[in-house]
Amino acid sequence: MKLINYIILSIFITSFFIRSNNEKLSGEVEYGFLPNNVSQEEKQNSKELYDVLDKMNEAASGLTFILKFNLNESFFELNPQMESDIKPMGIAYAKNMISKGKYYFNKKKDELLREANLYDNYTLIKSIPSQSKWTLYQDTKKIDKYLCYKATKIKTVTNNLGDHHFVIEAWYTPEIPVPFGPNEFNSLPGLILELKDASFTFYAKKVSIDKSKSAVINHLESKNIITEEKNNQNFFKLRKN
Amino acid sequence: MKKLFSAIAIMLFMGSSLNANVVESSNKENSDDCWSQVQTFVLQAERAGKSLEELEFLSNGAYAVFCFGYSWDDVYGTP
Repeated sequence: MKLINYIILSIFITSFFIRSNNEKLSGEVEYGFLPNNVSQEEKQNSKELYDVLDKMNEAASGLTFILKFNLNESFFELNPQMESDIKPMGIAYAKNMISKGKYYFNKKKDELLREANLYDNYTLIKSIPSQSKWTLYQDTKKIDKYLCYKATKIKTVTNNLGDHHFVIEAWYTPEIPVPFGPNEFNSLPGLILELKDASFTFYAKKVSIDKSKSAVINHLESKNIITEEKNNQNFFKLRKN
Repeated sequence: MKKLFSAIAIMLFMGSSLNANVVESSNKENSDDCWSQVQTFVLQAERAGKSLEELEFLSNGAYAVFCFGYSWDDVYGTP
């Protein structure tokens, strides 16, 4: 009887260590970005705006963003190594228009926090990733060595002229089964390697995966946390004043 | 003599008042003009579906450029 207990205990301990070993993951994706195409007609109709945006896109060209992750958490930000190489205008544009801050995603807590430096008292903006509703397709394409599947969702942006709807297109790979991606986009059954947002397309330039260790991911923490809805309300008030 | 001084004083007052009106009117025109440029720019950004946060960034820059004569490089060129 003692021998059986010993064997069961040994199996349990061995399986625990095997499982622990399988649960390690350390990943990093470097994303480049490109501005989405805008028709000549639209550019002509809004010449002043697109003259400025073209200038800013040029200043930000060559910028990259970094997504670091383990199995449970991810952190997305402007590549810190870039900050000294790119024109300050490009950096300001990247932080305010392309990525709109840094993002920390915790899968277990179902929480996405964004640091946007919009408020004086270091306020983070929170959203709930599981509320993100994607439509999955069978369309595939290879990105690097990974087989990727297409997914889309509708993003609604509300401003003083009303609601604007954009189709967001993501290409994710189930070969790296983590629900992370650039900006606020996540919760797909695989890592997002390409993402067409409302104004920009992020594409993976370099993907590094190490299954032998679990990466330590930067956290965002603050006593002051508000929701995206509250953040939008604050901006509506600000613009009315 | 008193009458002469009075006449000169009145002329100077009228002149300065006239100049002030011209300057004020010119400033108002510039101010109206810059505001209309900012509003046009913001309207274009709103039509393009920019979010309120993005609009804040763009309109602050537009205000500095159109109303204070800064360049976009000046506005966003400081780290």
